[in-house]
Amino acid sequence: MTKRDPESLLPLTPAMFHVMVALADGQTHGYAIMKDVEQLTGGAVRLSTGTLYGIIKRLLNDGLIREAASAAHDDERRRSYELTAFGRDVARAEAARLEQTLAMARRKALFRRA
Amino acid sequence: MTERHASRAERIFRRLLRLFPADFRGDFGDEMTAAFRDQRRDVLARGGSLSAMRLWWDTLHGVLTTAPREHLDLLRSDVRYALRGLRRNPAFTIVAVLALAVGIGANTAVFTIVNGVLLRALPYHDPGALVAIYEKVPTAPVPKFEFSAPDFGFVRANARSFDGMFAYRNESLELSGVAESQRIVGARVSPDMFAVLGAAPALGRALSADDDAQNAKVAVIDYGLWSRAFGRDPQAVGRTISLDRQPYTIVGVMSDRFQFPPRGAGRNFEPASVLLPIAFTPRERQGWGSMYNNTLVARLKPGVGIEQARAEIASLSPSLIRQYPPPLQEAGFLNGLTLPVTPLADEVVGDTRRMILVLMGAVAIVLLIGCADVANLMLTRAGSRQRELALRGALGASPARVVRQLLTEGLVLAAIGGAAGLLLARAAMDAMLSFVGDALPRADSVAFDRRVVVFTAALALATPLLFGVMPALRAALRSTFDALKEGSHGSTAGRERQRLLGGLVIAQFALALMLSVGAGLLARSFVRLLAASPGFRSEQAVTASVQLPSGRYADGRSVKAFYHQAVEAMRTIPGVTAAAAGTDRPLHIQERRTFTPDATGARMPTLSRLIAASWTAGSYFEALGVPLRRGRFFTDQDGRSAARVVIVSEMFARRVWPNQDPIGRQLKWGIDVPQNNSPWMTVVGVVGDVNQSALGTEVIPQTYEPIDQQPNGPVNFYRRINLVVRSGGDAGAVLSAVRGAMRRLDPELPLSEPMPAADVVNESVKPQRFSMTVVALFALVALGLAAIGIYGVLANAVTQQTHDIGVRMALGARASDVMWAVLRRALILMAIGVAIGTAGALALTRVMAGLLYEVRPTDGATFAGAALLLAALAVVASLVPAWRATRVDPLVALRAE
Repeated sequence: MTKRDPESLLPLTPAMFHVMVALADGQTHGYAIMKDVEQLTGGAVRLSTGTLYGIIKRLLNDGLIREAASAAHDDERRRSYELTAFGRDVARAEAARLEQTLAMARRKALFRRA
Repeated sequence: MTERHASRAERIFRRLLRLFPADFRGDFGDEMTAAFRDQRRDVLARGGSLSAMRLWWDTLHGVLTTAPREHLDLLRSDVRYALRGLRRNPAFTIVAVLALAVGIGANTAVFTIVNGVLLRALPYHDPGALVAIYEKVPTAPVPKFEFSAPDFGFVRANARSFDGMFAYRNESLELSGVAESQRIVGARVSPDMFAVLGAAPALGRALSADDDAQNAKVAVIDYGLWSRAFGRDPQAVGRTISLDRQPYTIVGVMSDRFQFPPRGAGRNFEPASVLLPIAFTPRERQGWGSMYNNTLVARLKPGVGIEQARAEIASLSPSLIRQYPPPLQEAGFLNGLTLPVTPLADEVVGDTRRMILVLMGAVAIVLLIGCADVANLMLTRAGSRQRELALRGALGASPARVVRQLLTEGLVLAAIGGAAGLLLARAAMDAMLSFVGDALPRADSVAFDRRVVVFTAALALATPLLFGVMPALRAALRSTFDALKEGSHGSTAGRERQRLLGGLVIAQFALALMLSVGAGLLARSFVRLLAASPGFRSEQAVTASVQLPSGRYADGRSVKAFYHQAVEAMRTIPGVTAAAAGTDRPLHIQERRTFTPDATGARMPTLSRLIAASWTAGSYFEALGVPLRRGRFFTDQDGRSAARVVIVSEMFARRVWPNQDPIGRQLKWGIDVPQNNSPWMTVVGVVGDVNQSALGTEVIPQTYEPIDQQPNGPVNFYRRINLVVRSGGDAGAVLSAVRGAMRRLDPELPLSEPMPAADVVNESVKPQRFSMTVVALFALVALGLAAIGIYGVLANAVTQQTHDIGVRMALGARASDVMWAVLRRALILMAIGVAIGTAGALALTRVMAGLLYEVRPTDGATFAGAALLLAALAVVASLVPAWRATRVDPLVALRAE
């Protein structure tokens, strides 16, 4: 596969980014991702099954995640997913982009008290 | 309990998942269900029906937002894939798009007419409740006639089913004083018109009951005249215009949506530029049994159906007859009178509906043949694509996915074809409208609107179902293994495909035959129609009309003087051999009168003695070329003080004085009662029958009188004068000389309808010419599309059978044998198609009976001609494939194996 530029996929939608962050620690199955995202965001983002699998399909198509080879669960209907190397690059690039955006906002008067 | 609940929740969830595309469901369905089960379990453990409800809400929301997106994604990729495929096969794409564009375009064009003429509501308030009422007497030579003033008065006073009714009639008026004087169409209306139609002027006021009672010289003008003559000046209200050289004050201006009467097929259906009070004169009000000129329009009361109104109004006719003066009643005048009520919209469209339905049928056939072409192409292509599709299948695409893909491809084709068709239809519409012009009722409301666009879009969506489903289903039904195994020739699948293709070609031939028969019938009928004689010699004759405004030509004396001056002036035009003036234009003879013959005449019911009448000056019959059968023409001696004379038509003589010499017999106007003291007129000549309205229509008896012998008192219809000039010279030059002559007599008098008499004849068959030409054009297109179909199938068959042909040629078959084999297949398909098409045509052309003149819908010659045409088409279309078959090199064909 030719080397793809991670930047070409940016920006990610917040939901997509949350799913990728949830997968950052290792392979996980669908419901665990949903729970993770909810916890990570303190309940602010709650994915429904439909939304989650729409995202999973897209991430799979773009090669950002893949099905994990060894099933961590006995239930074979519960496939687990993990980030690909490229997916990791993209997640990092997105995080960097967010940081830059934030830094830019900080330099402006936005956070100073009037 | 919980278990069962869980499973029910899961079942509901699974049902929700059906909203996703099948592939998505296959990939993630089980996982999603599992995740949903876990999620639900946790939510329930935490407790609270509120959170359970929230879970359902979130889930539903998630599915409803994600599923459409997935479908769209799929569609986008399918469309992209289809476009790529179409680009790779430009020949296929061009032919398919053209076939669809022509089919959809023709249907759009015809639907635009259907929409404008039949579907669009008349531009009045609640137009469905508006009806037209007529009078009808079985013995009268006309199917129905308009109302006289007293009859209208009686019906209005006594009918209970209506919210209001009004009478009106068209009138031609001379408009002068604003620009160059011109003839315009006006209407005299009872003031109730505005309330009944629910229309108020945009500026100023409507005509009032007072206007009507006082015969006030006031006018309401339409938007068109307001724009043309006054540049939409709001100050136009209050200004004075000159109509027939009498001053009228403009009191109101109608909005641009308003048009009355709507343009229609019958009398009194010409949109008026100016509306005037009808103001019946005392003479008109007492005119029992005469002047049946006024069309009656009424609005049904809410909740009253048309059948109810018909029943009620039918009960009125006996009492209406009892209102007539006793002599008229005793004479049996109006015996059997009925008062037919029809929806106004139907009355406007008249017989045109049938013609439009035939056009619709014709274009539907064109579209079907076009779709068969595309189906052919797709099937043929499916043969060569089988491997590609199989590969997709092997790579995991489900059969449903392949069907979806193929239908999307069809949709893309149809969308392109539909867009091209819309453009095509737009161009065709203008041509069609300028062709048919005024002959089409409601031509002014024929336009592209949203409904037309929606119709085209619907066609584009529907056609892939026609042409795309079969190839798609075939692709789905075949297992992928079959297809991979299938060779390029000789396989069962290949043969089955040939059978399917053959079936499509048969269908095309059958449809093409039906359309060709329809076009052939119309063409033959039209040729017969043109061959019909109008009763006069139109070549070398020109005609034009003037109408003498009542403001300047107030009485009979001045009108008659003008007739003579006009004839004298035209006689001096160089090259003129005969010049004349008469009431009414040829083929536009509208005056009808009842006469009574002397004692030698045949007894006949009063109203079948209703005949056409004209009044002439100059050498009328010589100028128009009407032959003299007996007696003599009028001479200068037949003047005001001479004995009253009349010339009758052959049909008149035959009906009234069968087996007698009509010369010297007498007749008078009016019915046969002692009170009738009209003067007797003596028949001095018999002339050939002249058609009163249009080629191919029924001729009725007619009389002619010298205008000179008419009274000097008040006149009305004699003011409309038709000029006829016979000359060897150029028609245009003669007409401009006529125009000059009239201008010298009265500089303000506009000349209308100047044209060679041959054009008058041609115009009378305009509707037939239109339908014949359009259907013939559609038939031609259909034949072309059918030819493409048969060519494609045969060419494909030859390619598929290259191997077999090679073998046969290696075994000694001659080129002519091979050629014949291909031709034979074409002819067999053609023969079956023609047989089916003949049956279909016999069933369908019956609808056309009313459109045909002297041709029966089962006309053998037409059927035979159409079949021959299709045979020729089959041969021509198969020549190239047949020739290619003979060029097969046995060695090459076998080596390809």
